[in-house]
Amino acid sequence: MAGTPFEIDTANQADTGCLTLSGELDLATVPRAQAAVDAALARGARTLILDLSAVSFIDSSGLRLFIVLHQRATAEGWRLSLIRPQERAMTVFRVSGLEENLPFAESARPG
Amino acid sequence: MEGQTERAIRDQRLAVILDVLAEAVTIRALNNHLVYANQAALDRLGFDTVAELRAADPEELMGPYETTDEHGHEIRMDDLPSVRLLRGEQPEPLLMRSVNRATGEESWVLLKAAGVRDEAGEIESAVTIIADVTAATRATQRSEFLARTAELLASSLDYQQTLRNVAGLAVPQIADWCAVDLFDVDGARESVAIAHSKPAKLETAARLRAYEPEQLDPDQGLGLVRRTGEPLLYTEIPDALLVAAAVDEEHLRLLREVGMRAVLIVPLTVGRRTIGALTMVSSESGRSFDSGDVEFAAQIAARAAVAVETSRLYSERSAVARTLQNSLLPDAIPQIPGWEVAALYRPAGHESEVGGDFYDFWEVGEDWLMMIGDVTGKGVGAAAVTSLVRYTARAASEFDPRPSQILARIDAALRRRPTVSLCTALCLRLSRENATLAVGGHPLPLRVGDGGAEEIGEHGTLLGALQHTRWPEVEITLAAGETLVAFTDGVTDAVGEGGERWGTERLRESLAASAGAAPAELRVRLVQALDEFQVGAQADDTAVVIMRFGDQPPAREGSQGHSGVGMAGNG
Repeated sequence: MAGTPFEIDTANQADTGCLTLSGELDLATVPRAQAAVDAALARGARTLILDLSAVSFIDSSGLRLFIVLHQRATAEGWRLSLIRPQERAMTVFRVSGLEENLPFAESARPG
Repeated sequence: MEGQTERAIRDQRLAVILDVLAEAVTIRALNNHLVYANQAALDRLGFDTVAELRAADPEELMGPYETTDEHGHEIRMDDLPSVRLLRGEQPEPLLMRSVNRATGEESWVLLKAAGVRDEAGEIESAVTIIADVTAATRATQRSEFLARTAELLASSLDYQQTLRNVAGLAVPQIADWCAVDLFDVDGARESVAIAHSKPAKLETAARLRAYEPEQLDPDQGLGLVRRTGEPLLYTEIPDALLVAAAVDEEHLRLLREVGMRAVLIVPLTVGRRTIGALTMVSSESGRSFDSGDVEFAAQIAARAAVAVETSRLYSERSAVARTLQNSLLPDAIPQIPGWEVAALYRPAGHESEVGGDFYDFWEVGEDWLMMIGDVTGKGVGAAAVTSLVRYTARAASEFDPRPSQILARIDAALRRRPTVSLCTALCLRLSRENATLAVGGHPLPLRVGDGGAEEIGEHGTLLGALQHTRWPEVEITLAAGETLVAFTDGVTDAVGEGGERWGTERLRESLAASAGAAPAELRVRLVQALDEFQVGAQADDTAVVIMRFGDQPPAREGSQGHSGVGMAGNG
């Protein structure tokens, strides 16, 4: 149904996992994103960067994924960093008050 | 040259060998007469001696049998491999079904013919080996039938249609007629399916049905099967039985018209309950039923019974889901003085699932509160959260009816849950002429009037999980005739051609085009616009609340308060 098919690219460097998500993140694709995150953590990633810059749509189940990951990172002691999605998808974070509650990186290269 | 004596001795030896074979062997001469048959063939054809067989008219040999191929097409003498071989053709082996017209006994034989040539190399006779393959053929047919039955039964949850398909599959291979009846707890029957390979025959069945009693006789037929839960096989249906069963001349005529040869009734059983029965009737094919047929029919019935039960459980589950869903929505849109209200609720997906969208209206003192929201997730878990949100909101409003405080209480209640439970909500308080709005992670409502449709209010935090929260309250004013439309993201996220979402812009355009319409009318147009845009199944729940501010200010007559005065309409 989605305009652009959902895809995940994974790149691992030392203990940093970088997942680049593209397309629409919704009820149908959230499980795939979740599985990719679990795989990266299972490989021992201590920092997880989720690049959402190619994500065009996020629904409430997508928001839930980021909230749960953020809570897990805090509880399990690893670091989560999000790179902002396209403006239309970013609106969802903004209007739901998630922008100030989730660890968005200030630029495309999180410090 | 071989001497007569040697030849006779050789023929005799051969005859002895052939007679001990289980397979029937015949020899057909050029004039199509059978000139030899071994003992098995004589038994099969019903002759005592070869001499008698030689004297018989070959056409008449087939007379006592109804002979067809595996597809039910009639087989005549000219189609037999031996006859074709004598005509100079090179026939393939033939699988033939033959039913003894007198006894109803059915058998399957495989006919293989080989030519005997004279010294000049010309065919002088044809030897046919007739192998009885009844058991193997039935086993194959039955396993194919069972496999297709299983497919049919698994293909749909509409068990009535499924049973009709199964009955259709059974004719004409298994029986000439196949019917399925279901019983209710009082012993009444419901005829679900009846099939015959020739549609014209169904008319007879329909007319016969008019003679069937509402209540089953527990001592015969379906009633007996229902009572005992055991299969029932009538290998013979003597005319006297029909005469006894018929209530009048016409009934008897119809019963005779069916020409029942044998009837087999097997129960559809779930646990110890007999929920129905499968009836197979043999008529014009003339075949009878045996214990193998009973066993086979029982296997079909067992599968059908499971399918019926599954489907019924599913229906019940859907009913439970509907009840639960309805408990999460107000019974009726209340009459709110000064406002005309309509609401829309469309859950997505399977009807057995409960959606996560909700809306509610309630009264606190002299104020009215409206809330619309969306709980993340679906099913019973989401229903529990929805319930929690609604009752928390109602309870909280008793202490502090400010929308921001109600949202704060919901947020706190959700956080206390063991798993992350998220909810978006919009809360509106109507107090005299004032309306106060707070929004938690929910799409902003639209104000629809002559100026078009514009977002009003201010965004606030999603409820249930976040550290930094704020739910700013905004006073909103509507001019008389203006409409407030609050909705869930199922509306704007609806997917159209090419994966495009409906979006806020299209929603605004659609509403602006209908500005001034009554809420009920606006709701209809909104549904139309959504349905036109949407392709495929609706992906997300959809809820909309439409409230038009009245032409008159709310009536305020002292203590009478909001007792239904005004112009409220019902959704």
